[in-house]
Amino acid sequence: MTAPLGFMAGLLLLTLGGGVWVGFSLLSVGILSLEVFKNMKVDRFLAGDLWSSTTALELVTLPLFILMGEILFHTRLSENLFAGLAPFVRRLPGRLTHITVLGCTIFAAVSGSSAATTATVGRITLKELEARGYDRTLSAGALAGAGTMGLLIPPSIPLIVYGVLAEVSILDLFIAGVIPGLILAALFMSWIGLAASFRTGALPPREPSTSWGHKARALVKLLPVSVLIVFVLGSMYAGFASVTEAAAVGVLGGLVLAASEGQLSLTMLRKALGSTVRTCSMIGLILCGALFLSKAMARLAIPTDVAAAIQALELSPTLLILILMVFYLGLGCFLDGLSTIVMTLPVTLPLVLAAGFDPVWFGIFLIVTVEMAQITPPIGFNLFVIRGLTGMPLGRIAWAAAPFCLLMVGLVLLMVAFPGIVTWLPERLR
Amino acid sequence: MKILLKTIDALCVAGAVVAALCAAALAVILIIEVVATSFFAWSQPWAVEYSGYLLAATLFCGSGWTLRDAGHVRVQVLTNLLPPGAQRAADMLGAAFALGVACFASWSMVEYAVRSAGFGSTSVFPTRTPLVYPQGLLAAGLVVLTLGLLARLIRLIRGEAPETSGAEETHI
Amino acid sequence: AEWDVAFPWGATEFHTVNGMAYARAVEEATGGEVKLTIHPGGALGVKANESLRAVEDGAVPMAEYGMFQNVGDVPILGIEAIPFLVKDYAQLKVMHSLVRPIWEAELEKRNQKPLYMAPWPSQNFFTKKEINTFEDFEGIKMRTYDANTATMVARLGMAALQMNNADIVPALATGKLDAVMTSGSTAAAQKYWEFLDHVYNTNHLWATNVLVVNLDYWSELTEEQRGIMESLAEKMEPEFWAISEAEHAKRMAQLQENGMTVQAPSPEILAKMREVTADMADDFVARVPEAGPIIEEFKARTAE
Ligand code: NA
Ligand code: NA
Repeated sequence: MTAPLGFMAGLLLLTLGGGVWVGFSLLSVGILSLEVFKNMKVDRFLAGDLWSSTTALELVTLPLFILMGEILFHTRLSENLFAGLAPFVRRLPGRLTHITVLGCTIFAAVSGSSAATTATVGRITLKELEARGYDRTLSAGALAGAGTMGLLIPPSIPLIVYGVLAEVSILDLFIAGVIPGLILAALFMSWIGLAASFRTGALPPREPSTSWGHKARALVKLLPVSVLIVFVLGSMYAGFASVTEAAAVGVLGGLVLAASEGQLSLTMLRKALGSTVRTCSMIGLILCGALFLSKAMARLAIPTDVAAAIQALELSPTLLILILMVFYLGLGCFLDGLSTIVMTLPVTLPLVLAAGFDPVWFGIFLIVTVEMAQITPPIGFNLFVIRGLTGMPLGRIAWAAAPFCLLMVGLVLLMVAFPGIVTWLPERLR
Repeated sequence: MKILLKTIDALCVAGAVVAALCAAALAVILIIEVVATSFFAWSQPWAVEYSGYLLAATLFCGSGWTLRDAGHVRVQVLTNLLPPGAQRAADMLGAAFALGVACFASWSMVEYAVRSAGFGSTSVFPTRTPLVYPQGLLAAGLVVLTLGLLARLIRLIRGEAPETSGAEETHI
Repeated sequence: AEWDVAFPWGATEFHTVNGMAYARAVEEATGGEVKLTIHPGGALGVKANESLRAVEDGAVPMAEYGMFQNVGDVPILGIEAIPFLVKDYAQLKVMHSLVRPIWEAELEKRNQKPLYMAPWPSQNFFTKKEINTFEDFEGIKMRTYDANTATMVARLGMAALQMNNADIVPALATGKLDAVMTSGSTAAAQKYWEFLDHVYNTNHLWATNVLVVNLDYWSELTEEQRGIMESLAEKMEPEFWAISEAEHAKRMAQLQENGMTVQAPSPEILAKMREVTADMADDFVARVPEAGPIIEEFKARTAE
């Protein structure tokens, strides 16, 4: 195990550090490690995997939600959203920075993916926040962290995948994710409040106090965004659209909004589609690299060997979970979160169940670690999405996201100390 | 050489147009599907299957154009520390390396699609679509990306700017 | 030899458990010389309906897949899934005895060799509302997964919804979907009682899994090792069939315990279901002519 792992880590650092595109770097590590350490037809394996990964139906929401965000970017939605909320948050520490967390929490209830949540909410909020004088680093970090909640708050594709593989009720998993999701949102907002109060220049000067009449007029501005949310959420929860189709309903909603504002034009559509293609190409290449690398690792028996090594330690349950958290954090630095679940579950689930953990609890635990993987460098999809949105260097985005990653570690520790956070609600609703 | 570069650029743009149209078609098919299943108790027999194919095209057909447009991610923290000459050399080395990987991947995918054609493989969905078409589209996207890398390498060797600047504005 | 075996099903699914038992037996009998590593849950990225191709290409040395899921590559694999053609395990054995030589020849053309085959437990409709008459099918939104089931469902007057796997449970929860069809094993694993109330043992089609090995890899083994693998497969196959048969009863009991009503559809409904799907066998023969004589022979042998 150590030879392939060392080879992989070395080649990855060499190619990434040498400025090779992330996707090609990941692909090359997968290809070369299999060529060196395994006697097999790598080209055939790669082609089948590329075909299978790029047509994975779980990913269909991604281009659609990105397209929705790009269409909304050309409307006055974000302007109105900010103008509508501003009078109400002027006394809140951190003020409008919270919009990213709130936006992500709400959007997470529609979207089952983290990159889509980040891309859509980021497209709507980041520019407006910066224009209003808010600190870009803090908003980018908040977006990176909060964007991951698309996975924890139902619907969530990784939770469904986990439920099917572990034969756990997906309904229980969805319910179990709600309280940790809300705790996480609260943690994020508290941190934003704290950081904004202590960091000079993080916030623009406070908006002047306004009359109640003014506030009422502000509320009206929130109408379009509320209608849009109700439209998309409603289409799904009322049984009109599947989780995948809800993303298409979002595109339709965006188009209707744009038309009602007179912004709908061929030029606008061309621009929106062009940006969508750029973002999707960027994510697609990296995702295929990460997915293939995880398959290469499975064929080199790396997860099995690591799990066997962990099992041999005969740890106490708490220590086992903490070690697994480190294990998943490490994997998550380089791989896509969903593929780490698929790849490692057959070996880690029996360990965890034998240690007496609840499978629903472990599912939520896994999702939180997968969320962290979205924002840990060097391979963190939310970081890439935000880089695409802002052009900020990856290192700075990762640094901005670091506190939010630590807050997620905090949530895991809370879950270990108080498992009821996860298990209480589903048991209650049985 | 100029003609080659121009041809590759045109192919990249064409790929991006295909990807954009596929993204649009994806949205249209699924919006129709919501209406059909909710109000007409009918489902387009191709909806799920083709959303997979359209996804593949959306993810890869515009990849070459995205490369030219500086849209693909790479880590430049370390290479930026190098002196300008070495930076260019590292850039060339990186492009050549990626070109090798891309050649391998696109050749594998082309071969995969060709073999599907040979076997007459079809999908198991109601359309029974011959798989060579969607697989060929993905392979074409990868080939265009590979050509894009080749163009980049040529431009670097000729001392030209490898990327279009002003990434904010789109060109399709 | 150390071979990776791709399994699309989860680690606890009985087919996977069977596969692991086979792998252990092979390793033991060959003195550790042939080591099969089962990768469940699609961990190698080989989708169920791309498995035949993956083994043919040598992308993986071995895989298990549902034959009905790979009819796009070898159409005759779908013969047992013709609606209402095969009635029970005994008839399925007759069908397999007739068609297996052809399957083996076809798979050999695709560079692979079947080791053992094991069926899924018999199939059922899972619905929200009760089905008392054939007309009750009208307008029900039923999830289908291929051309065969889509045609069948349409013939029954239902709306055939193709749907991505991950969308099914949310769609059942929100009412986007009214019904699904699958075996008791899958239904219990996905806890369908959370959304659906009625189980009808329609037994509408049969679905068998096959464990295959790529012939290039196969030829690397010694004759003795190949003999061991073949005889173990032959010895264990009937055990796996017995497990499948027992699985149905066990899962029906489990579904009942969780509050679902389990029943056979009334003879009238069943007769009507057979009637409206009767010509699907002819459609199949039109597409796969070599199926014609087999179906005739099968009908002759199973006629009362
Ligand atoms: Na979500
Ligand atoms: Na990461």
